[in-house]
Amino acid sequence: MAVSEVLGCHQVSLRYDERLIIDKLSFHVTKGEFVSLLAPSGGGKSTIFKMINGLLEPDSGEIHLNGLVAPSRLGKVGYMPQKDLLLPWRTIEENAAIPLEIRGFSRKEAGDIVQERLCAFGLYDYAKAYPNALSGGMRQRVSLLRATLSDSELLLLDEPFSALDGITRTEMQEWLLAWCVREQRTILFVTHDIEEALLLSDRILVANNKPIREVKEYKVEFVKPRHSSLRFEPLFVHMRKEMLSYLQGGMADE
Amino acid sequence: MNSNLNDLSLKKKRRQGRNQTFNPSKHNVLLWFILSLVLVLLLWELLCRLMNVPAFLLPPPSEIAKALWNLRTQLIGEHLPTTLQEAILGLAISIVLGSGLAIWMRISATVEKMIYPYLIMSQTIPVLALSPVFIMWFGYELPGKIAIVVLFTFFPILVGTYDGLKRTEQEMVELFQTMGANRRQIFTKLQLPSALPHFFSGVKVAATFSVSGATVGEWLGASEGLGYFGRRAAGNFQAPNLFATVVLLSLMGIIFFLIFRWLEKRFVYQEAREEKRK
Ligand SMILES: Nc1ncnc2c1ncn2[C@@H]1O[C@H](COP(=O)(O)OP(=O)(O)OP(=O)(O)O)[C@@H](O)[C@H]1O
Ligand SMILES: [Mg+2]
Repeated sequence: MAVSEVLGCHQVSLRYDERLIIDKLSFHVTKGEFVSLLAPSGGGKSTIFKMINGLLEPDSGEIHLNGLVAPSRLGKVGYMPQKDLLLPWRTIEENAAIPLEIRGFSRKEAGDIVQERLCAFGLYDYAKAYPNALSGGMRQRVSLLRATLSDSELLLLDEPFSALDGITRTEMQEWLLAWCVREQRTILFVTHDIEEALLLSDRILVANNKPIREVKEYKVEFVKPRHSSLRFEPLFVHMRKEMLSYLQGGMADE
Repeated sequence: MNSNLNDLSLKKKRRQGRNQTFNPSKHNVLLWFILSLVLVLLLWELLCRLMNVPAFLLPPPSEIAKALWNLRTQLIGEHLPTTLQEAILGLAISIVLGSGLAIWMRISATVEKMIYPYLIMSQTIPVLALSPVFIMWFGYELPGKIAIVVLFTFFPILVGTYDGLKRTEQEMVELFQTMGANRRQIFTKLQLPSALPHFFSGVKVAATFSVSGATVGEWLGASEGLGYFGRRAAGNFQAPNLFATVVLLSLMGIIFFLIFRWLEKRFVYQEAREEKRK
């Protein structure tokens, strides 16, 4: 069991200046799982990701990768930031190749590897285009492709769809569902959208307090592959209500 | 299903290609400029003739053209190359030193703290007033002229490059760090390319300043060059000759500017421009 644990956070705390953001938080993610972290806006979701990927060090507690304490985590976790952060002067394929170049592949090798993957991300025709020629959804896919090319089992996706309009967003969710079925990566996904979390995840961790102290776990057992029409099923609606009242209950305590 | 999805989520918008630079509106701008130039020259000519303005005060364009033609071998064969040489050498030195120092300032916090105040001061010090000092130090020969050109052009390049390097988004740097990038990789793959547009803005300003610098250097004492020739003409009240050198100097500045603008278009991805257009 412990062997297949990809990520473990143990009693992790972090404060910005004097303000406590994360308070003794513990959770884990197992290999192949899609786990969502649901918390209200401004709750500290991005902060948790920045600790996991090594940009921030927790003030106390331990972060484990693949079952071992990982004191330096930079370069060991695939991270898709909240904004797409594509370099405007690089084409789509060149943007996606950045992590490979950093890992030491030559430009040629990196280009070949990217070429193989462009199709799966629906970007084949846009390999030579520049980011500002793409729609928001496409840019997010480039950003995701880039994240997957890091040398790691674990992918952190920070609200990848929050900036997209409704229709594009649904499309992207379905696309990600299909992609996950094919790829079998381990994903930790951050969102403040309950429906999105329910649709995509195997497990949802809900934090309803500030600072983020403990998370309530919901198992989501709808069969895969899923479709976005799932959101009209009674069980889905029921879970959604339950999670919503849990979230609101926490906020009312403040 | 996949390709279907693409069609939906795709804005049918491609990158503005380079071949679009010759669009009709741009043609129009050039046309109107030529038209207005012709009008201004005509008006000028007319004014001089009708009001009998003495030629030593304001020569008509025809006189200037005549002077240019008569002095062509002297001006273009002798004086222009001298000034050109000074400007180009000074500008080249400034580009190397200015961008080099900017990079050093970004690499070393100590250097940054030591140099930064001068960078602010450079915006307020009248370089013109310092020029005679430079002639004192570097002499009346070529090195003195080059030194003055460097004086005129160094700071725009330093400020531009430094600004550009400084302005790399912190979020981008952090993203690179999460990919395991070391400082050198962050510098070459992120900071340098994102500073390039600012570097070019600095160089374009400096390119036109280099001509002024060379001219001032020659005013302060020289035996050849357009600045020297123009000053001598002014001393002798030969206004058409003076204006002829001014025309050549302006052309030189414009051509410098255009060369660097071309290089910029060639090597810098033009995002800012496209955003403005939206
Ligand atoms: N570098 C920082 N220094 C100080 N405070 C910060 C810093 N970064 C974030 N914060 C604060 O910490 C809190 C949590 O921020 P964080 O970005 O982690 O929240 P989030 O849940 O990701 O928010 P959002 O839903 O807007 O993405 C916020 O109140 C934010 O203002
Ligand atoms: Mg966030």
